[in-house]
Amino acid sequence: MMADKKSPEKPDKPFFVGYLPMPAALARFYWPLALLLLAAAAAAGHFWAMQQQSAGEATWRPAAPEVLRGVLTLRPYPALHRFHPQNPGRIESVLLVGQGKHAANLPARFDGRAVAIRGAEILRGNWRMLEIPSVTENENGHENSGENSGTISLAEIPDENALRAELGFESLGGVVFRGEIADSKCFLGVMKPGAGAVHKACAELCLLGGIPPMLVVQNAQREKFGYLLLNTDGTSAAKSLAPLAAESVQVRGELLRQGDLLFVKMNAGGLARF
Amino acid sequence: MSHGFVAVQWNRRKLLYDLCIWACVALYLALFIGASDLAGADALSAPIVLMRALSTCAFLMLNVILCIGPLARLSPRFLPLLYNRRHLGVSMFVVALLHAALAIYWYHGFGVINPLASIAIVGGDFPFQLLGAIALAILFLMAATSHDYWNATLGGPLWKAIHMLVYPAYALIIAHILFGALQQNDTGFAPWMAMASVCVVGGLHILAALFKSGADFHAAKSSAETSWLDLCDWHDIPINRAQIFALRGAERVAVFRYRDNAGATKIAAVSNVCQHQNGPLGEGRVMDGLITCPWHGYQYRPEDGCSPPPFGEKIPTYRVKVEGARVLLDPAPLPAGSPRPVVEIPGEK
Repeated sequence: MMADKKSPEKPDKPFFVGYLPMPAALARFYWPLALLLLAAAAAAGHFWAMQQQSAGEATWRPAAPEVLRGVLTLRPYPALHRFHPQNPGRIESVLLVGQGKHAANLPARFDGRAVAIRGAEILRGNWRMLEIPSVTENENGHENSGENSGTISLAEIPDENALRAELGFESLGGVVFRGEIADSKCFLGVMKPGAGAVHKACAELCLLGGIPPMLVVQNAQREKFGYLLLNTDGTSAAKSLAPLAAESVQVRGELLRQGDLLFVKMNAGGLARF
Repeated sequence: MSHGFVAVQWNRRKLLYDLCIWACVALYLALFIGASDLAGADALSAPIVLMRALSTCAFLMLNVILCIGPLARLSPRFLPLLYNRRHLGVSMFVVALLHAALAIYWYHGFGVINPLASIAIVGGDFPFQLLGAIALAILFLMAATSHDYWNATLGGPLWKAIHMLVYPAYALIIAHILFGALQQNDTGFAPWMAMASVCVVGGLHILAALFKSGADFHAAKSSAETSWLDLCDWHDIPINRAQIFALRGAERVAVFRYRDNAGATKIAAVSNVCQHQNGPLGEGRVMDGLITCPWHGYQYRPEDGCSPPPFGEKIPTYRVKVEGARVLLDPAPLPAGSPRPVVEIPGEK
């Protein structure tokens, strides 16, 4: 049998009992340990935070709503098209989404009309998105000045007919892209980071709510490009792609352009995980 | 000890312990948030930074909690950390709960599905959020039953079993990280932290198991002639301390050699398991003639295994006898709180 070889009569080690004064030898051990733990907590917090990587430059301005004017199209995804303020020869198309994880729910009678829309801008690179609060219209349906102006109202814009003439879909040919399916609202700046596995549930809920799905493709220089995805019949693919949100896929389809928005209309069987 | 129940039996030790916990939490969160990029065009979203700060803080706290047990077994110097571990556990649960609430609000809120229901509905083939939610439910159960009232009401074994669920919860949290943050392309640090955690927590537990089985536990050998077990030479038991013996098919027995209040040296054997939280009584010592648990200071009389009045805890006792220098034990435990003759060693003062 193994026996404890320490001398039974040698001075006992300090014994801690919580409701009694701490033995001096233990107190000498614990005060430096407490200070060490405090320093370790501070260092760990700083160190771990520094491991985070940037989610890229993007901005969401919910506190500073803007009024944008242009021609509204509701399909396949609501968008406002206008001549670019800094480059009038180019069309800028602004995607429209609702608040939270919801699509913009705009009255059909505004489709194809020149309108003024108020909302919070979401900006990433050349992308501009407008988050629209719950839709209200002013009484006569036309833009007013002042606080009575609704979220959306009819407006008069210069070169309206010229702009409308530019809004047809142009086919740019067949493409094969690999990338991640993201919800465009989070990816463009509402959440940072707004992509990746941790964000999957959020992206899935956004797509179920009708937020336009975007294929985010990264090139060798780590530049990111976004393509809005459409079903084979050219309709919104938001709900059908929800289960694949935040996953890496290969998409085969037809590249389309409307305004400065790029779409991929997926071929039948043209979508696969990789 | 459980003469009556109050919300928290505060004492100076617990106040200092909790102060240290929350100072560490506050410092960690402040430094994490302060070091994160929250301004400018490439800033991270503030709720996501806070979510990350809370999750990593709770994870570190859980690792500390899991390391305290084996550290205290490896060296009694760490027993003060164990004394108020329940407060650390409840604090960790609060931090984890804040992380979960923020994640549900931010990632699962504002959508077309109820946020709580969506945890089980969305998230793909293997929703990592569900793993975290189950772990949080376990931590809630542990935090809610951490009070001595529940310990006394549920009984030591059931209470202990519930609180051993911390290990499945830890495994679920590691899986929560593996299938969540670790899959994120931009969190290259997460795999290293998860691996380091498993190595440190697992390594300390293995070390503690090896250390204890090799040095402190002695398998009792039975005498061929009688049912009495020949344990050891009484000189080998340190004064006011115990040796622990593992009986085949039964629990461990702590055999104490102690000086009573009259100065007589005696031998007494009791169950090694404290009724409070199953602490190892044999790693405690005799103070003022009472066996004192090393974990929370619960005390029992060597003569009958009862806590002194007004307390009501009782532990099983064993009969011992001394033949020459040898200590012999009857391996049949007596009911908790049973008095039996305590062997006095003649001539030992």
